[in-house]
Amino acid sequence: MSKDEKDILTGNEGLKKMPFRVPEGYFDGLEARIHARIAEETAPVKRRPLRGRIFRSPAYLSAAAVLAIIVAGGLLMSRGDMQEDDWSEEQYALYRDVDIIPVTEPESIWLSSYEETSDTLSTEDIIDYLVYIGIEPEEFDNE
Amino acid sequence: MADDREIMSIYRSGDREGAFREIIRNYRERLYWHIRRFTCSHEDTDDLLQETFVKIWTGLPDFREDSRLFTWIYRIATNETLNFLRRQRTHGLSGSEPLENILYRKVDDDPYFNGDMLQRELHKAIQKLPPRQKAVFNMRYFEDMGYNDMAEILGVSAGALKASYHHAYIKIKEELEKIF
Repeated sequence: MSKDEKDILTGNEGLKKMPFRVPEGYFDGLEARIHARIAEETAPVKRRPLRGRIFRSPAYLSAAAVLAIIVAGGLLMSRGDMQEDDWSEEQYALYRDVDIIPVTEPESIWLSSYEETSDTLSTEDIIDYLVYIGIEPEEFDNE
Repeated sequence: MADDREIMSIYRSGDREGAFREIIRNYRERLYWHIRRFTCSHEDTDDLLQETFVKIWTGLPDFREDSRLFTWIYRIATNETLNFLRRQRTHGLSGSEPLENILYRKVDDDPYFNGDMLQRELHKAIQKLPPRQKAVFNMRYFEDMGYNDMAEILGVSAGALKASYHHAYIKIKEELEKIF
């Protein structure tokens, strides 16, 4: 296709307009809602003293004792599993880090790419390579 | 409305709140539509837009002007949005159904849609694209953004983005030509 020829996307300028409404007055009230959210998110968290919370009732002590037994048992069992599987630190890191990828790393977003790996080269792989070696994508259409 | 240079000048004068107010006025609509093209939902967009501005407010003291204000702001909004979609995928909020199918349906079900058939099919076709192609297509086609600006925002080379746009364009064109 030549550059002057119009297709369905270039020939319909109206397509570039957003076909969605926003609720009445939405943008007018936005600034106040943002300030309220900032105040809410940056407000210091008020905590009661630790002593008062833990020793308020014997039920807390019973629950803590049961929990301690469960955790100790779990640790002993997991030690046994670890010796059998002998997982490396790298394998654990794969699971441990999966949800703490920082938002400031745009490349990490592409890790969850939809495209599946394949043994064969797709048209997209070939086009990516051609662009990599300096050929403009527009040139493909002129062939 | 103040431009980016004026906003930074207000900020440097010590008026952080004044600069932030101008940022909201200048960017609220642009960012709203930028995010909404990804989420297909007013409610999700509203939440992400507010969170984007909270991050801008808290990040402003650390903004060193190594990049332009415009690309820094878009980078925050884009990362917030793509991470939101990634969380929906990885935490199974979409169940066993692919997220693209859910987004595709959201266009049909959106109570705020007021376009024609061609516009509806265009926005449905966009939802079928992989994340990078979707981001590039939206920024290039609707916002007419340059490849170098997009490269700064997405942290990917301009060449790779050209290829992504090309793939996205062809896919959407073919999808629409099947119907119209």
